Amino acid sequence: MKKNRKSQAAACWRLPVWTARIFRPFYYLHFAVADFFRWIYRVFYAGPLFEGRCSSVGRGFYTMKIPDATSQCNMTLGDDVAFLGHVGVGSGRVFDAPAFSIGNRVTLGPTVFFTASKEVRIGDDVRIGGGSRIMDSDGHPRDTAARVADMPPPADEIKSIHIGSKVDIGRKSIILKGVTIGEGAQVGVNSVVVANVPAYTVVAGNPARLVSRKQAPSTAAVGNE
Amino acid sequence: MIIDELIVKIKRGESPLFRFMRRCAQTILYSTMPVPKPLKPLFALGYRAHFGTKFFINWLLGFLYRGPLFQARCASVGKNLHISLLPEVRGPVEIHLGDNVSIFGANLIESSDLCGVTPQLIIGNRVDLGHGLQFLVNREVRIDDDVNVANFVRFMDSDDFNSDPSDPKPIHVCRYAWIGQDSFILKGVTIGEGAVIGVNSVVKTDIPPYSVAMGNPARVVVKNVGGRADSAATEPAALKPEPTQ
Repeated sequence: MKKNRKSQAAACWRLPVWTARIFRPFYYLHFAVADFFRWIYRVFYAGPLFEGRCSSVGRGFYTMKIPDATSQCNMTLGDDVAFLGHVGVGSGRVFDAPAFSIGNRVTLGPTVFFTASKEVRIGDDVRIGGGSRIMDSDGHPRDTAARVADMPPPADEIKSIHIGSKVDIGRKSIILKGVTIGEGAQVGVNSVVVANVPAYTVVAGNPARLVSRKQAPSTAAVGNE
Repeated sequence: MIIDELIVKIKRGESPLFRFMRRCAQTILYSTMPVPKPLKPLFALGYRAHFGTKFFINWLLGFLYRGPLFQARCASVGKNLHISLLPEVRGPVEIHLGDNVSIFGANLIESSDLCGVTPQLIIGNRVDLGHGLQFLVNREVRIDDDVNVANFVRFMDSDDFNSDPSDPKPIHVCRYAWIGQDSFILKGVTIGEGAVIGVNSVVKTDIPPYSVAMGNPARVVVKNVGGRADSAATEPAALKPEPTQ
């Protein structure tokens, strides 16, 4: 411990306090410049390139990074979709044109990855937390011999995923194949959803279990603000 | 700061002027340049070109730079090693790779200087390792032939990541095993032949051969899965999704 003291003192050395007055504008300048270049990148490069790749994109599309979707799937995006980070969509080699569709006002957090081998459908007003993975196939067949032979999963092991409207999915959750999440449901942080989730419920855990039920709202819509 | 106060006022939309400024800012910041329909194929081509270039540069770097460097670090390497990103190796660990090993991404292989014996990481033939794996090797981690390991799996053969490798116990993954994403394989675990570990599991105990285990801590949910010769290849009922209620 003793011999480190000198190096620790060197590592902890800071500029005197009064210099903050000089450096403060540079702090704001740093982020202003960085944000400007990020804005150029996403408005004129990442967004338009991805729009070119999709079959249809609604108004007000926002993406921070260029989504990685170099697969054969057919992508449809609604209005006011926001990707707050790197989003990836992969689809295996089983089906010709898997469907990947997102409704209106959907927000995906950073590093959300999809496996859309057959169909992934997301409704309106859905929010998906960062690090989540939504996979409609396991990527490898369950049969050991086929897996060792590097075969794709058989068609009956690929089941489409439907996520209803107004669903909230917590950070780092994993939604497995064949799952339907009902309208207004909430999935807790770091859950693994292996079974259907009924509408207006809260599920959490690995595997996800019912935690509580929510009151379904009356027909009067809740304002956006 | 004046700028902070101004930004908060705009965010809250305190007066018609600030509301107007908020609308303008939202339009400018949170939108994408519209793509005219005739130009769409051009942008689609640009999209392919972006990822094509990225893939090509990655392949070139993997072939000419990262592959040779990682091979030089390993104690023995088989034929046809495939690497896309350079795994980071720290400590005195000895790495043995079999034939046709694929490493799809950046991995971290760590071992401590204090563990006494030279720790061994032994990877068999035709093993696929995903992205973002972490190996903490203070005694031995052995992965046999034809194992698939998904992304972000961690193998830890001792409890501590840093200086004090307390009581390491070797990990053994037998052949044909398949380990799901984000799983944790803790010390002293033997994963049997053909076993399947579900996503996000924490494996603390031995997993018998040809079974499916999942959860935290991982429990066996299905036995005799995966078409072994003596099992009748029937789909076990327990694997079907059970209702959450």
